Amino acid sequence: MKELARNKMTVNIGPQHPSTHGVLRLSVELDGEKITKCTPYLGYLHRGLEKAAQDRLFAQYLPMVDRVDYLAGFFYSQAYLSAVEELLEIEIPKNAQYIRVLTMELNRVSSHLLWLGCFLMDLGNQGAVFYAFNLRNEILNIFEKITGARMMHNYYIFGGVRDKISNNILNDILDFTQNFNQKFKVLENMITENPIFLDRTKGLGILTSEIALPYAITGVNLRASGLSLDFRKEKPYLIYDELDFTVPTAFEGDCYSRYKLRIDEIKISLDLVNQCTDWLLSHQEGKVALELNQINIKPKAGKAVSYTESVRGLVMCHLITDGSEKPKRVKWRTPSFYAVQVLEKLAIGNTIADLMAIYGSLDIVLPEADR
Amino acid sequence: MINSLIKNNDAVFSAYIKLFNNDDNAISDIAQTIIAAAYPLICFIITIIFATIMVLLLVYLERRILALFTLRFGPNRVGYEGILQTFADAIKLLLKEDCAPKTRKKVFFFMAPFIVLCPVVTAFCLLPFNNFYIQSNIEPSIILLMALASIPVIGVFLAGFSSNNKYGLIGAARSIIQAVSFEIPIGVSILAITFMTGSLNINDIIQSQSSNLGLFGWHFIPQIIGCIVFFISALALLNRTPFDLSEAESELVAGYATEYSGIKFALFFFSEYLLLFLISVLFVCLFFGGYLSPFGTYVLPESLIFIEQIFWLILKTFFIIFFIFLIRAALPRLRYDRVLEFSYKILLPLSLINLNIAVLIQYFMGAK
Amino acid sequence: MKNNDFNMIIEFTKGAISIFKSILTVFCQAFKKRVTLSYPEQKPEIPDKFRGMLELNYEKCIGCGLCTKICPAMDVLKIKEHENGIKKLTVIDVSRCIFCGNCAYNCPTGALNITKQYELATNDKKDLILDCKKISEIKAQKETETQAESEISQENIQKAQEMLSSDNQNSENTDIPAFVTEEEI
Repeated sequence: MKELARNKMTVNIGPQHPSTHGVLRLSVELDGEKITKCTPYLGYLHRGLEKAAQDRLFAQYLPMVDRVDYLAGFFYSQAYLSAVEELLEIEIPKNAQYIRVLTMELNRVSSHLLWLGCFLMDLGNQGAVFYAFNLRNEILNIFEKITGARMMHNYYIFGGVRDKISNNILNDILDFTQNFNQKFKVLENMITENPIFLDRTKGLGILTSEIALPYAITGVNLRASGLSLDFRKEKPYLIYDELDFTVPTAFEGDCYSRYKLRIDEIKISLDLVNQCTDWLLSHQEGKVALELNQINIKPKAGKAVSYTESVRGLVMCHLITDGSEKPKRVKWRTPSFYAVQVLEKLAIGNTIADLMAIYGSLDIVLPEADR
Repeated sequence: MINSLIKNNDAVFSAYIKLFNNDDNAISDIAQTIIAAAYPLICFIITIIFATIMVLLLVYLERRILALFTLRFGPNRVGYEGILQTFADAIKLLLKEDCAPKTRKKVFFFMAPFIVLCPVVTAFCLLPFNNFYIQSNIEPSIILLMALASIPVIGVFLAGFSSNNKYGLIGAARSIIQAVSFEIPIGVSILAITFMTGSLNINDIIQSQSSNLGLFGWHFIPQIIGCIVFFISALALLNRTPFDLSEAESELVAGYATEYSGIKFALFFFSEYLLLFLISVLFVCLFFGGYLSPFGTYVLPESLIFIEQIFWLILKTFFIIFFIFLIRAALPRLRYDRVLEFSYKILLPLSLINLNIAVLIQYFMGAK
Repeated sequence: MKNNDFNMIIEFTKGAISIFKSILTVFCQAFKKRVTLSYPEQKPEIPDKFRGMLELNYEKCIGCGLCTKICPAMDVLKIKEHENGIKKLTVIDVSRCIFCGNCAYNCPTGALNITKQYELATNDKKDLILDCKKISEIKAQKETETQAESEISQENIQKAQEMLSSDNQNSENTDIPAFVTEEEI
């Protein structure tokens, strides 16, 4: 008897997602319930940020850098400024370095909290988003006091930061970190040992280091597969070599270990924030910026590459200048661009519900991938 | 034979019997006919109004209670503290354009929301709100109630099938398999209760839980396993979290109601909330003593007991509904294959164990 | 086989306990303080450095063009040359502004300032294109009006003083001190 041919159905998980992942199109080929092929299509959020740099002065481009990944604005500012400062051959004062590290680590915590809320919402838990966002709101209020804006801060300038953080705000930050663990316990109680959650994430979407390295995955996604690669320790920038922290690693590579690592990273970042705040409270007299004319920035002609360990992985800013007041070329190497591509390997063999769980656990942010 | 099916506190038929057996009363023929026609109409109108108010209230309550657990307020602007919010949403849905795909099967597409809605509204007249005045009290009332609560499954299938949409069909198929699989544990739990009571009538089941122990004489203590099994299966029948994968938004399938818009879409969710109320009342009647007071005796005087009974039933039902909404705020969703595994591998054996316990209790405590 | 079953029962009870714990945790959230502010009756606290709408002090502006040069959104600020060759910042297009603050932070005279105004929604986009010359004229007019008003009220106070002092001389009640000068004390 002739075997009945099974037709594969091609389904579009369209650019519009109900969950807050951004605009990504996944063309998925289904055989029954299982996925046999998954092709991601990018470009729906392309804003031409690299081209915009070529028409603008260095200081004019700086507010736009915050918007490459609006959830991790401080990291991208740091990456851009690090490249420009390398070509200007200046070194920023110690206070400015501590302030930059303090704000970057707080930004890491706030971005991980947003990831946590949205990941849990994808899995069906509708109460967790609000608790995570409530905690994130406190961090955004601190940012508003320091910089004047909750998300697109425009706080770093060439030569340091705009102004110093007063003692009141530093004490507010210490209050926040001390009360954080108790409030975070609500989320941990709800999720970490919940059998429904464990069943949905354990053993799912296993990313081994053999798959991850050719795709140039960095950050938490790689550390959950066993390789302990953190650019804060590999190529220390600012004052990370003076701070005391460990880099957590897991070996299974499934969704659950990525979740666990991000929770651990939140706690380590808050410890770093405490260290920076204590140092700043005792060294308030230092300068926070070099006296540079922001508008007349003309770095020498050349190339510079900066390495920054951002929330989702490694961010590199390639800067090519030709001695004029506008950059010749700015290229951003963003981690989500590579994480989207590894989805085509991880999705195979799973159902659509699992695909959403895997996609959520990779922490892909589309504005970063599309620039 | 009909007389043996109808109990003596059935409202509609007992009124008729009193009416037509009145030989020495000077009611003329015309008056008799008018009353005979008007009486069921009035009961019908009361049921419809009650169902509508209950749905509006439940949708509003769900949003407020979910907001209560997530540190927000919920809708509190429209009307006093937001009570008219659902009314406003219903008006919005009514005014929407009713567009439907050209390639649908017209008759089934039109019929499906009504098949989903009508049996559930009909089942409202079987609910025992007090001991003296039940709209329709027939002997096998539990069986009729469960049958009426299962007809919507056919409507769901028709909705998915007639939409001519592959996502709708997948969603409908999933909903049906889930509903049918969880009917079995519910049925076995109800069977265990009928073993303990000896009757299929809801009112008799409630009366069998009345004793001077009050709270401790109810069925949830000896039948604790049955209580839990019934509750979890009820959540699955209602397509509620943690079993709401067929309605999940992060899935590509938007469920069986993909192609419906406007008032037809509203009717699907109308029937979902009505079924929620219905199954909560059934749960309370079977395991938590229905309209009985937890103190054993009633507080109000003789003639006003029926008010107190209604009050106790509504209060207990709203506690159960509150708990169902709390579960929605707290738990993530189960994966679809796990849902079926859970039903057949865990709930069904547990309900059978429960049935054995019920039979053993009856054997040793003697038949009632 | 028996070990497996035993493990399964233990896993099951552990799972049931943790589900119960999560339900209890969520239930306890019902008693905490609400996070939402009932806007517009309650407004959030705005810190000092908050970046809202821009505001220009027209007299201080020297028309140097630094703000226009450094604005990332490019068509927000426009400098126009007026009669007798004076250049001033004339147009602020709030609908294109990204509220980064570059212009105000780099203004050499401190003419361009950041206010805390964030309620900028209008029905007509033209309301958002501000003409700084007209705004400064309206402000100047209002100031002269308030000055005139305060002059009028000063006159009224003086008249009242005179009336009361004349009353004071006529009446015998010297307990009302009214306007006691220092010499009298």
